[in-house]
Amino acid sequence: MPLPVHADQAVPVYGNYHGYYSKRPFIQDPRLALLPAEFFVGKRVLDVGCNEGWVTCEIGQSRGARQVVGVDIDDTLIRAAWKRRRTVWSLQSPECGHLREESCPPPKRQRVLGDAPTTDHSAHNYFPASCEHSYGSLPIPNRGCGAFPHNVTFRTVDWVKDEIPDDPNQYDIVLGFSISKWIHLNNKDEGLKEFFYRVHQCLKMGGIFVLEPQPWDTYSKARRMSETLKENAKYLQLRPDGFGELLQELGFSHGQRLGVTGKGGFRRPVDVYLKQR
Amino acid sequence: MHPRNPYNKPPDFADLARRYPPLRPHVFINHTGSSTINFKNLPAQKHLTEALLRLDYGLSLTLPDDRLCPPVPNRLNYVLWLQDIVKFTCGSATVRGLDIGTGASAIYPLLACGIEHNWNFIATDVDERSIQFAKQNVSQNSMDSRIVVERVQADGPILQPLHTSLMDFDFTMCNPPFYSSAEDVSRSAEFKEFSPNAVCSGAEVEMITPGGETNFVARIFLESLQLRMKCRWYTSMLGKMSSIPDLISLFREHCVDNYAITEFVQGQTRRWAIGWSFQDARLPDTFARVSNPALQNIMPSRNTLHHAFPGARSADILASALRNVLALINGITVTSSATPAIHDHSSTMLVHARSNTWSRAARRGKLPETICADQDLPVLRCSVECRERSSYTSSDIACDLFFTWVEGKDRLIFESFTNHVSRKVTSTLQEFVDVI
Repeated sequence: MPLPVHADQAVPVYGNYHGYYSKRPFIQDPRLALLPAEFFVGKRVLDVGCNEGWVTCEIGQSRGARQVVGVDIDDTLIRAAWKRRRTVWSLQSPECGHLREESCPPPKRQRVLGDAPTTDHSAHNYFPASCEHSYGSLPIPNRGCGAFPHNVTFRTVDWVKDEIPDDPNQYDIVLGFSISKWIHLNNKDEGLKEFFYRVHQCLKMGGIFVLEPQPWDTYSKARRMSETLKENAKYLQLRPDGFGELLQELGFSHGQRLGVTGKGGFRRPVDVYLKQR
Repeated sequence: MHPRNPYNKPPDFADLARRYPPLRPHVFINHTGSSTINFKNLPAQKHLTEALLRLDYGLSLTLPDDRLCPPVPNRLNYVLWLQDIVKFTCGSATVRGLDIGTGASAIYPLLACGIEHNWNFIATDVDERSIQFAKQNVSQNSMDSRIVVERVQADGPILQPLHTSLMDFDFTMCNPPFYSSAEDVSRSAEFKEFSPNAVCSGAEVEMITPGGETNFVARIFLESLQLRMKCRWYTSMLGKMSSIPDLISLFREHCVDNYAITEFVQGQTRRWAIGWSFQDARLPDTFARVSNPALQNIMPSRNTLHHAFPGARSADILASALRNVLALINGITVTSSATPAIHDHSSTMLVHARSNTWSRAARRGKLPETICADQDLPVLRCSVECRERSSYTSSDIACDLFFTWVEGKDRLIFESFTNHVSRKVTSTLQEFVDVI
């Protein structure tokens, strides 16, 4: 059952920052940019800790995923995520669906003639933002061919503890962007291990876990948020550097570093793990 | 020299010396009155390389005396060629490359990452000393998050990182040891008319490999047959033009027809590079072919074909006829290119065909519709450009259609498309004339 997160809760103890993405808007998420164009095409994806769904929507709209599910513990954020999906849909060019009948290879193919990448942006930012402000969002037609926005859904759930209906179908890709610190601090070592175990369970064989762990030295600021976190932090023995070993024990391959993104306190590595047993 | 190479003109050595003091003792004025350095002097070479890297790319390099000192303009040619290939074949936001035999300098990954901010590398070498220096050079330029230096076994797979990586690669590159033995090195020098322009500080491991460069690149090719589309373009530099034909025969033996040959000319030094791909994206002829007559019969087929239309009065009329013809072909999508016209009086359309609906057999219903098993892959993508060719000698303006093969497995489908469209355009132009 979704955890009751009170609307007046000012302190985002789950990392459930409100306005996380609107304060730092992006056109292309830098962590997604590390993943090749074909990575998500035709795949079922789970985004754990999706916040307001900006990354989730980018995967569903621009990366050709068959299905993307975003989960977050905070219901306010999930409601904002559905709204975000609506906004992204409203700004999209009406032609986006027609040119590609099937759930699409990335439009970047058109680049070959030297077409500027902006054809991508112009299809996705076809209408100015003011249109939605003045006239409200565009209606989403009944389930079409499965292309965006029908391939993106959101659920409020504490995914460390509870399952959602989509989980048993298993995913090709699970994303854990900037989430491990919060799971770790709120659920301690046992909770983190449980999370990794669940990721392993819900991935198909050969599926990929993309983890962007926050470094250990950023935990100190977070644990000061509440007494619970401060208390939990005392018992933590696992460290982000040891996550790879844990995951290998569970049945993942050796982690491969795709790169490092972010500046200053947000500087985090992005690692991929293959479920091989 | 690559057309985009900024070292097309020799640098102003005096100016370089002023901005990079360690180079000063090596710069002198020669008999023509211009400043230069003695290229046959190792320390001079080294300091020149350090100066160019520091001043033009913000890179700092630490080089031992017993390893190759990379000449920057020369190395840059290869990077620029790869930039061209990547631009035309890669749609990802991050570009992943493998540098085989990166050497103590790790010059290729450093240069490339200095120019392109979304390229990442795995750089390999078999020599422990080179690896140590390479790692140091990557660290001192703060590129650890983008360039991973790995030692590989000399008797193991050359493309080892491709086997273990979870992600696909966009290209591999290699500056192989050119020679097969020490005798080969001296024999090669004997056959040359002039003594070398520069002095070489390379260690044996960098210069010599069993069977020489041909064998080395052949090994890479054979390994790539297993890996196939794990990497978009496999490339390598070659020091001798005579190495090319054997490798091209090997490609043809294995039915690899998507390959490229290019030439890097740097002052008195001439090098070649070849590349091959198992994917269907085709390269423009400028990157895949060279005009050197000695290589003509092993060059890959032209990816741009043109037909002349003396009957067209202007590019606009030709474009109009073309649009009519394309509209009548089933199963294709046509989009206009967003790029502004390169030439005056030209326009380009991009054609995307799911199946071959125009060949005579297809039109007579005899050919089963060869829709690709993978629905996302077109059977043909090509661009069609109308160009005016004005002649100074006569008042007639001739027009051409330029068809460029952009993507596809089967060349015959591309050729049959160009023939079909050209035939139809000719008859459409005739109809225009009759109507007028």
